[in-house]
Amino acid sequence: MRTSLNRRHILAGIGASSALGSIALPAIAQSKANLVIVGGGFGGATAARYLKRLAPNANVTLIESNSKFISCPFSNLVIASERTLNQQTFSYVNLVKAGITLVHEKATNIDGPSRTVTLTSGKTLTYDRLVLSPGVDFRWDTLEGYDEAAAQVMPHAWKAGPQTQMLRDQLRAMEDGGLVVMSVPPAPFRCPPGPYERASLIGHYLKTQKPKSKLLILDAKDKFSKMPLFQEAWAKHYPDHIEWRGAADDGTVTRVDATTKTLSTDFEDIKADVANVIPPQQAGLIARTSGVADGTGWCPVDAITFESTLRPNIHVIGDASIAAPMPKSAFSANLQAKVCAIQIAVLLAGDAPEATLLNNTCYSFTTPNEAVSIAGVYRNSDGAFASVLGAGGISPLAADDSIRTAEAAQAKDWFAAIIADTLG
Amino acid sequence: MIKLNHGISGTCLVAMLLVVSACSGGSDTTHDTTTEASAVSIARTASLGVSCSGCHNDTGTTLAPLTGRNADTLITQLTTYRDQEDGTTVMHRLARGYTDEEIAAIATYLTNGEAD
Repeated sequence: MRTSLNRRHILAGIGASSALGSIALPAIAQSKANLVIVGGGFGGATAARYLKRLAPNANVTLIESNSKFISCPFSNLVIASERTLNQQTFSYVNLVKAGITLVHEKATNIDGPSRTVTLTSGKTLTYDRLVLSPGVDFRWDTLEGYDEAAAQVMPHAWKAGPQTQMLRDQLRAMEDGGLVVMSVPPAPFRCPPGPYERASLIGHYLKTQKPKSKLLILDAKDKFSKMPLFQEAWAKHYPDHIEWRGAADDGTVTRVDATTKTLSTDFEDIKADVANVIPPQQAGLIARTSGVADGTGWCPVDAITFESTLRPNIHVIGDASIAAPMPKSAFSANLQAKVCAIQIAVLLAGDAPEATLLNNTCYSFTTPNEAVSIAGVYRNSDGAFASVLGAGGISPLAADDSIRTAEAAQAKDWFAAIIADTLG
Repeated sequence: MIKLNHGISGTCLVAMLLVVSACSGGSDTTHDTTTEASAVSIARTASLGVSCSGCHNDTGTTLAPLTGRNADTLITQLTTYRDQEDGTTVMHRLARGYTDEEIAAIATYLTNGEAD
């Protein structure tokens, strides 16, 4: 490998003119195409930034109804009163500075044949390529008794914002000795280890603030992400404060009653003092109304370009896409956005996209100062995603506390980095 | 001395310089011998390298900085992560998924080699 003086100069020049820590991306396409991104989460905001860098002459428009970006990652720390919602909230201003047109509206319709997006105002935008990153919606109809009104009493807190604050406030208002009940849906859902990180941090809150209280997790599954690591942490830190019940142990919640905060399984009705109901999920509404979601409620994509297999010129990334074994994580959404942006630039340049490797890294806090991780590497050749055998896996079990505290410190660095990569 | 996460000492490192052309990844049909394929090669290099900024930037205290790196050092570090069988950090777990060619591409991307 060569390390030329010339390259160092390029690096220095780039460093002076762009965000700290960003790598010089080559402008792959000179096209003046209209590129529209729907959804400004970790996927969509990243896609907008990278498309503008890879195709600097293109018109890049990001449609996002929220004026602020609120991060789901680290929001479990807010629920446990270890962090504020304000610390989760970020501005889109650097996207605008980068030359991206930001439209704070909702996309109400995408018409594939005419390549147009209709906004709430009635305005329409024409696109050459569209990146759809709508995240998840809840399946309000599948858990009896749980609708949007019920969520104001039994918060899901699965989209960061007022719901996060509500669950935190309910925990704070609960008297010591209370029962907190969490309902976990069947897979797939956003952030597979998220319920168990949340359980850990609620366990920490109860142990330190309300020690006579307890958290009961009612789970529609028998296995979950990082399971041995969480179970080890719960046995060590929260033996009196966390109980997990899987599907085989009557853990599946089939019905809830918001008026009494009661969660029902096939055999039992459990009255909660605080209830956190994480509902079953599907791709965001616009994906389903624009014909890119299939019968599963999620969006099949070409593994190399993330182009919908159902609608040409629409690329679907992030939680809404079917990219298993890649998990529905912020890291996946951010990386899928970057790879998708590169392949769109290649297509705009008239070249053929090539397969590559993707990966995922996900940290979960087991206490406010300790974390565990999972990683995976994925090939996208042969039309589908596949885990690279021998790579990936979870943190070591029975490890020194220093490993757990080191991974907590890494998690904090990760958070700062992915926010910077997503929002500039 | 190269220091990996969790204080793993650099004394066990084998410094190896990689001849990229001799270590192609094996999974893909290579067609980068013509000049017109260079845009695709740049894209492939970038597509492998962009994952790093999902965790690393220049403000981290425990994760290595993203910029200002040396390609040869990066290749040695990533190869070492991959080949340390008892390594348990996230970087060990990730590096095991990459061939020599893919590691070299990542190093090229992170040292702005594609700008040449």
